[in-house]
Amino acid sequence: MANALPSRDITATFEVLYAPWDTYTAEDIFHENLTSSFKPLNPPASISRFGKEAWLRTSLPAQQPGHSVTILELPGQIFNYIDVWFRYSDGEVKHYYAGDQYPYVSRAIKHASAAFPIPIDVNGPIEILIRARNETTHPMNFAAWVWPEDSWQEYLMLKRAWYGAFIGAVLVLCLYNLFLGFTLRDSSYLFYVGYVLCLTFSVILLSGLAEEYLWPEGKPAPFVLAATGLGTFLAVGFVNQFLKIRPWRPRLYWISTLISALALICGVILVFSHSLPVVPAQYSASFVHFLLLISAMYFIGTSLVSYFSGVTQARFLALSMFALLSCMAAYFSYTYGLLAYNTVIGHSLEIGTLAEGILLSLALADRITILTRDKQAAEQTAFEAQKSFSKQLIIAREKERQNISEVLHDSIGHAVLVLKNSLQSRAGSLEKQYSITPQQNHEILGDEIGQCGEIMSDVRRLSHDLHPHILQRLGLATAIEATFERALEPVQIKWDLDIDSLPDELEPELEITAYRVIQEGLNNILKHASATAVECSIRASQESIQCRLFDNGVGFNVATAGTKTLGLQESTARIQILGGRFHVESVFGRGTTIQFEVPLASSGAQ
Amino acid sequence: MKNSRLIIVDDHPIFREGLKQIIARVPGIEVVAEADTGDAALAQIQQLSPDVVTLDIAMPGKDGLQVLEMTRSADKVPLVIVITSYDDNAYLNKAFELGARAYVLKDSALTDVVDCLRAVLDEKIFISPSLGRSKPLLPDMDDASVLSVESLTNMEQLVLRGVSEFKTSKEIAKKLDVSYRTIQNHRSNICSKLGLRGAHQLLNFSCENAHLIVPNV
Repeated sequence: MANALPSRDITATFEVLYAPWDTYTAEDIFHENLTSSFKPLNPPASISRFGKEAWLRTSLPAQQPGHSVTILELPGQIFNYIDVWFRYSDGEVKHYYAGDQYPYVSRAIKHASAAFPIPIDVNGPIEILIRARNETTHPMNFAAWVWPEDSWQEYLMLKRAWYGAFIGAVLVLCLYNLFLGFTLRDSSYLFYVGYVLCLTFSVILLSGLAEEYLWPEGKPAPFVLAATGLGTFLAVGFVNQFLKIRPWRPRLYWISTLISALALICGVILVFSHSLPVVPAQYSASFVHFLLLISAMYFIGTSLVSYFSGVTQARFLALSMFALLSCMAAYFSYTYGLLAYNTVIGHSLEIGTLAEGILLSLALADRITILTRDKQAAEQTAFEAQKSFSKQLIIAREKERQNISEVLHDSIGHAVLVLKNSLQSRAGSLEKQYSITPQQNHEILGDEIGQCGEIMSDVRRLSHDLHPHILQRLGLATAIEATFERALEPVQIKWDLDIDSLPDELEPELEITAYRVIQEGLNNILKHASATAVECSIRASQESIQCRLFDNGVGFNVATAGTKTLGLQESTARIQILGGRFHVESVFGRGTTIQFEVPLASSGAQ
Repeated sequence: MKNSRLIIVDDHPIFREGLKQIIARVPGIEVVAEADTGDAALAQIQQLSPDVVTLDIAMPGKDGLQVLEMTRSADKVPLVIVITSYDDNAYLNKAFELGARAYVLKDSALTDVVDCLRAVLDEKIFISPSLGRSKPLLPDMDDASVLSVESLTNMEQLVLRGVSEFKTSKEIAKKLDVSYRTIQNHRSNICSKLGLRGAHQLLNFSCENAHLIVPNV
């Protein structure tokens, strides 16, 4: 609003006096001359003194109607008991109180932080006397602002909007990650949600929102260190879970868990008692803060070490804790009285919590990406392993067939050949010895010699089917030509071969695969197609070998046959193992075309 | 006349023995060594410089075709008779392409080998009759031969002359200073012009019609 008076920081005008509880009353201070006991406050300063209450006083000059400040705010921190007395120039005294140990409902101004209505006195200055009591050992930075009514309302609106946005954002983050956590069955997400909720709860407690909305009749106990302790415990749990510290560094895991558990236990003790056992009473809160700091350091350290040892997901962890810690450092510098209060620093915890929540959420999202990638990599590895196994299997089978083929050819084949030759020799000597004609001779031993020939051609066929020795010795083109000649010539099927000049050094696996697939196709043609013509072409490019086998036979239903015939399946698999493509096309009555393409390894296509 | 010296290369002892007994009965030929692997054969060829070698194709280690190719660079190139159990045209053609003088099928080796030796020593080529049985060794074209040869280009005639001199494609390529593939193309063109199939028919034709081929251009 244009005509709104500016608010004013009057902290520096205060004088302070520390005294054990109940040493003085307000009357004592107003009436007795204690001026010499009061010292200037010299902000920024923490007014928390263990076992003592702080008396602060100042005066406001006489105010003109329309130009007056009407609200005294003690922003930032929440005291347990805060009492304010205003004394008019005529001596009348007005008393208000706030603080989290007084019921919220009895505050003169219903507001999360301590605020009081300033009486208007046109006649003279108004004296302000404040008594701040703290049962806890928290450090307490004192600040005081005076507000004109209009600015105050505007400020309240902004503050509500800010807290609304903050809590809304946190809830969205928590719900989102909770959903992910249950979907992925990953407990890291639960730790995250717990941790962020604890941080937020701490903020709610520290900002006074807890009194305003949760316990207007009076807060049963101070929860703030219990909330931060639980938050610390969950944060350490989160980082340990997320980075899988336990199996990797069990000792570190236990130490960090114990420290954060100690923070939690101390926090819980401080709900019921004002100080911790063993630790000096005035340092109880600081001790918990110290544990919290160690845990945060552990969080950052572990994340950084993990990140630099290759765990990409840890980058956001380190960043997030760094952001939170920076904000916490600013906040604690303020509460311990090292920095003066201002609006930004007063809300640094919310900023830190939001940054932490968002960055950790990114880390968790990162994890999904990385998990997906790892899963894909694992699937790829499994696929490669399977492929390699199939390949080895095929190689082993070819080797076995080659052995059988060679044994068949060399032992049985040669035995038959020797037998045939000796029969022929004997026939020759019979001719000479008994002067019989070749015709008679043929009658005597011709059948046996003929049978030997038939056995031999069976052996040759079997042996070559088992292992194509022509392929091995004379290459793919010659082997295919020989096979076509051997298979199609006797059954009088017309055939046409069109083979490009192939690269000199084809890999044996590619050669045997191409040969076997064509051989299988040819077998199918002979068995099922009733074809009268077969065409085969092989084309070679820099990258691949492309082959096409066509017959003009009866054709078949590819969709149904493909799943049933082992031969087609094997052909497909063999081509796929080499990273190639296999395709069959068939039309009833109009023949079948088999096509495949296999990349050359030297082309780097695989 | 000095005896021709012969080496038997085969990994089957029984077969080697049978062959040896038959060859021993052929006058003018003396078996000087036997080998049962390709490497042993090459060493003996280098050392003994035989006139004739009978060569099996299927052998452990280096096979017959590899040995055949390597004999071409021996100090003295022997006349090679391939004796094998493979009846495929692919081997037959490859053997002649690599400079073999004869191709004998083991089915009838013991009866064929005597005729074969005579033919080879007489600078002729020989193929087991059982292989040529289904197809005539040459298309029927006695009168057309002159015309046919004239239909060839100069280069093709040069290649054909090389073939008639029992040179391999590689050797012809080297002599004419062109690539091996060029020679292979010429050979395939000659075959299609003359209606020949395979290296053995080409070789046979070139031997029979050597007198028709014009001298080096």
